[in-house]
Amino acid sequence: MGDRDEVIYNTLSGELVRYASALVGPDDGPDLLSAVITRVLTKRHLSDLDNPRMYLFKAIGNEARSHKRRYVKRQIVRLDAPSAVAPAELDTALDAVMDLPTRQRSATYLVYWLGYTPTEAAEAMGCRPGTVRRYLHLARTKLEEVLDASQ
Amino acid sequence: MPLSDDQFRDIFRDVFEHIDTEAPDAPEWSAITKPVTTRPAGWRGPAIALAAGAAVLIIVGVTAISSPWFRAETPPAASEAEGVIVSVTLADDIDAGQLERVIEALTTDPRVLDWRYVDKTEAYEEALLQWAGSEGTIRLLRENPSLLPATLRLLTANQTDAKAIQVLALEMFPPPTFGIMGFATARGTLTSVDLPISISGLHTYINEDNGFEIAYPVDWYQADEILAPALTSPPQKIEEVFSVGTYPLRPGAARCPNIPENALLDLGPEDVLLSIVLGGGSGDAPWPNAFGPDSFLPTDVPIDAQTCIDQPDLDARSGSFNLDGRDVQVFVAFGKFATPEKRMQTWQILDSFAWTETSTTTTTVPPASCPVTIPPQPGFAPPDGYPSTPVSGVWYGTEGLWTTIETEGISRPRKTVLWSVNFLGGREEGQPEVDVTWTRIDIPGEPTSNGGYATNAYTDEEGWFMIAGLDPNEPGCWQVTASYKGATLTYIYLAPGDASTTTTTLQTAADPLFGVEVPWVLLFDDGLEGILAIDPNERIGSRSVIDGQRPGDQPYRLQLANGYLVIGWGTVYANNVATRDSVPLGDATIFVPASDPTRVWLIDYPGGAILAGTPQVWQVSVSTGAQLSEPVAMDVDGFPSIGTPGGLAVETEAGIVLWDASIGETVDVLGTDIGFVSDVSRGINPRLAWCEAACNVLHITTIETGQDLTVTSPTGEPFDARSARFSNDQRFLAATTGNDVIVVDLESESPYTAFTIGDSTTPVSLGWAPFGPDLFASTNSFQQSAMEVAWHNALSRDTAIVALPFGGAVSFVVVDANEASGFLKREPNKPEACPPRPISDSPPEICGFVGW
Repeated sequence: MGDRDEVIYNTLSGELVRYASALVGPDDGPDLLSAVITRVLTKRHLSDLDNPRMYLFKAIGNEARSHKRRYVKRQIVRLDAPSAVAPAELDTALDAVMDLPTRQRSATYLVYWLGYTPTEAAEAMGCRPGTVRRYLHLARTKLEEVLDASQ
Repeated sequence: MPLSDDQFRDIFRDVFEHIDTEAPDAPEWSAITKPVTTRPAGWRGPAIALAAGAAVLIIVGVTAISSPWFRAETPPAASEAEGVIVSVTLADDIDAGQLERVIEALTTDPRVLDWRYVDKTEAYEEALLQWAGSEGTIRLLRENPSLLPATLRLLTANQTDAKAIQVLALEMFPPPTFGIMGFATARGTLTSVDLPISISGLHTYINEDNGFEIAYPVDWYQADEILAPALTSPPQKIEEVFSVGTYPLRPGAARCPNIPENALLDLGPEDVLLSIVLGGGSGDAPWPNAFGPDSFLPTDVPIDAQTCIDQPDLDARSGSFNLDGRDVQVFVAFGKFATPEKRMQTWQILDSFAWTETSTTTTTVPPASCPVTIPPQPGFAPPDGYPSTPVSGVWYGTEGLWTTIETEGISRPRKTVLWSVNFLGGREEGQPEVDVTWTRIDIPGEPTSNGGYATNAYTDEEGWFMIAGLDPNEPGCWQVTASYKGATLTYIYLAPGDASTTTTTLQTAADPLFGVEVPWVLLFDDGLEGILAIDPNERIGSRSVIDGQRPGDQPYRLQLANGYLVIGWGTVYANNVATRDSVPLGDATIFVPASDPTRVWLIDYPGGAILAGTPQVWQVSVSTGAQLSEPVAMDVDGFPSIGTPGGLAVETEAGIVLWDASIGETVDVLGTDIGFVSDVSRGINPRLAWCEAACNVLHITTIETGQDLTVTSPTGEPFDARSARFSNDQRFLAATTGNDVIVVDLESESPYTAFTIGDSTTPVSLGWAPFGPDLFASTNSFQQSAMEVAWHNALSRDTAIVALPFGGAVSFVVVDANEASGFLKREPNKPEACPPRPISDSPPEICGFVGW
C-alpha cells in the first residue's frame, strides 16, 4: 500500500503544491501540503481514496482556510514575463487576487487557471456549482474595483 | 470601462501563472512519511496560538464577573509580523440571526485578515488549558462553565486596523442592543477559521429507551451500532448504549467480544474512544462531580483491551460507577498523542451524562378495549435443543409455532420472529413458507400481511428461527395470526403511541388554556384588516385593526420578522409588535420573507398582479424601512416564494430555482417537477424545506452544500405543499399531512406523528415559538365561528388541543408575551361582541374579552 501511496503522491504532488502555494503563498505551500498528506495518512492510505486528486484538492482548500493568509502578500514578486496586463497592473492584480478570501481564490484558480468547470471545481471545494459561480462573480467584482481604483 | 469575461480570465491566468512559477517543489515522499516524533509541518498548537487572546479574556472575565460589559484591553505594541486580534465579546442572548449579521458585517472588511468564532464551550475549554496550573481559576471555571463569553476573533494586520474595526463594529452594532458586549484585543495569530457546524458545537444525544442524554462535540463520530458484540440485552442486563470517538467507529470483534476490538484497532495516535455500558458492573464508585483521569482507580486499566489489540502502551481506563442507583460502566481509550483538549472533551462528554426525567416512570396500561395476550407462567417450554428462555420476553405458542411476547402484552414495532420444530434451518429452507397477518382490532380496517415472504436467521443463543416481516409501524391494538406447516399461532399486543400526553378539552376559565403556562401570545390574521390576539395563560383575547392589512390573496398575509409584523400588499407595512408603531416598507405587489430575519423582499410586478410580467425585487429593512438593495429584474418563469442567502427560491414547473440577486442568475435548481417551497431556516447554514409534485417526500436541503435530507410521513400520506415550518432554533421541522401534524427532529433526523387536529375539511396552520420546542397549530376558522388550537412540546412530546369560540382566524404567528401587550386588552366582552369588522380603525382600537 505504501508503494502505491508513493506513486499517487509523486504523480499529484506538483499540482498540489502549486495549488497550496496559490492559496497560502510559496513559502508555506509545501508545509501545508505536508500537513495535509500527513493527516490523511494517519487515517487511511491514499490508495483507498476513490478520487485522491479531488480529495486532496478539497483537503488543501480546507487546510488553507486555517492558514495565516497575511504572509502571502509579501512573498509575491512581480513577474517580468509578457502578460495580458501591464506590469504595474499585474502587481495590482496580484495583490487583489492574494487579498481575496481563500474560497474565492480557490474558485478562480481551479476555473481560470486549471480550466475546471464550475461543477468540477465545486467537487474539489466541497460546495455547489452555484456557489462556485458566485465566488467567481465576487472575485471578478473585487478585481474590477481594484483595477479601476488603480487607474 | 467594464472588463469582458475573456479579459478577466486572462488577468487571472497571468496572476496564477506567475504564482505557479513561484511555487517551490513539493516535499519528498520520504520526508513526509518518516516517523513522526513531532507535530506535522504547519501544525500550530492551539494552546500557544490562542494564549494571548484567551488570557486577556479570562483576566477580564474573572475580575468583572458581575458586569455586563468587558473592559477594552490595550494590547502591547504589535509588530508587523504578529498582527492584532480583536476579540468581539458577544452577549449570551445573541441569537443565530444576529450572530450571522455580526459575522457577515465584520469578517468581510478588507482590514480583517482572518477570523474565528469561539463559542462558550470552546472558550471554556481554552481557559481550562490556559489556566491548567492555577487551581483556583480552574475551580472557578468548573463551577461557572458559562462564565466566559462567546467571541468573534478578528485578526488585523496592525493596531490601527484593529482600532478601526472596533469603531466599525460600534457603529454597526452599538452595544448592548445587538449582542456585542465589548472588545478585547491582543497580539497573536489565529490558527483556524472554520465555522462550527452549530453555534453550540455540541450535539445532544437522547436515548429514550434507557432514559439518558449526553452531549458530545459535533465533529466526533457516534457509533450507530454496538461496538462490543458480547455486550447484549437481557437476560444479562448489560447493554452498550453509547459510543463516540474522534474517528469513524467500526463495530465488531474477532478475538475479544467483550471489548470494542475493531474500534480500538482503528484508534489513531491522536484519537479518543469513549463507550458507555449500562448494568453489569459493581457500581461501587459514586459518579464523579467532574470526570478526569483521577476518576478511575489504577486497577481500572482494561488488561484485555491491551492484550487483545496488541498495544501495550494503550492509554485506556474502564470504571464502574453508580449514578442515582444505576450501574454505569465507562470505557475510555486515548491514542498516544491524543491532545489535551481532546482528553478534556472526553471528560466533559461524561460530565454531560444525565438521566432524563421520564427514564424510569413511564408506564402504559393497555385499555380494556385491547385484550392483550398475557403469557401464562410458566410459559411455553421449547423442546431440547432450544434455549429455555428467550433473550427478551417469554416464549409463547406450541412446538409447531412459537414466538416471544412481552409479559405485559405491550410491544413497540419489532421483527416478527417465529420458531418451529418443523423448521429445519436456513440451509434447507432459505425462505420458509410462513404466513402472518396483522389486524387492528380497536378500529375497523383491512389487515396487512407479510405476503407469504419470510427469511431465516441464526444465533448461538436461539438457534435457527424465521423472520416474517416487521410489525406495522402504527400504534394500536394488533392481533397477529401466523401459520406454518399446519400450525397456527395467534396473539394480541398493544403498540403504544409516542410517549406523550394528548388532551382535547375546553378547560375551565381558571386554568391556563393548554394546562401549562406558556410564555407566548398567538397573533392571528383575521383574513380582513385585523389581528386576533390570544394570551393562553391569561385567557385574554382581543381584536384590533392593524395598519396596512386588508383582504387579499397574497402568499404571506402575516409574517414575523425581527419583532415586526410584516403585512399588506400594494403598500407593505411593518408593525412593531411591542409598540404597534408602523412604518411603510415600500410600494410593491407583495413581500416574501428574506433569509436575513431583519429584512424582507419586496416583489413588484409591472402588471400589478402576481406573476404579471417580470418582477423587480429588492430588500428592505423591517425596522427602518430602508431600501437595502437596488431593484433588479427577476427573469425566472415562476413564483418567488422565499428568500435565500443572497437571493430567492422560486417555485417553477420544473423544480425550485435558486436565483442569486447579486448576479441576476439562476445558480441551482432543486428537483425536476413542479416545486413547492415551505420555509427556509435562519442562521448558519440555512436549509430549505421543499417538495415537488405530490409531495410524497419532503426535502430539507442545505443551500450551501446541497446536502439533502428526505423525509416521508409516518402516516404514509403526502405532505401538504408549503406547510413545513422550521423551529426558530432549527432543531425541529413541523409539517402537515392533512390534519396530522408531523414533526421531524433534525438532530436525529427522525419524524413522528405529533397530533391530529381538526377534520379533513379544515386547513391547518403551523407556527413555532420564538425559541424552544413549543409548536402551535390551528384550524382555519375564516367565516366560521370556532377553531381548534393545539400546543405541542417537541421535546417532551406533550400535547394539548383546545376548542376556542373564535371565527375569522387564518394564519398566525407566535410572539413573546412580554412584547404583545399592545395587542391585548382585558374587557368583559364575549367573543361574539367583538366581530372583526365594526372595530374603529381610526385610531386603531382594541376590543378585548376574557374568561372563555
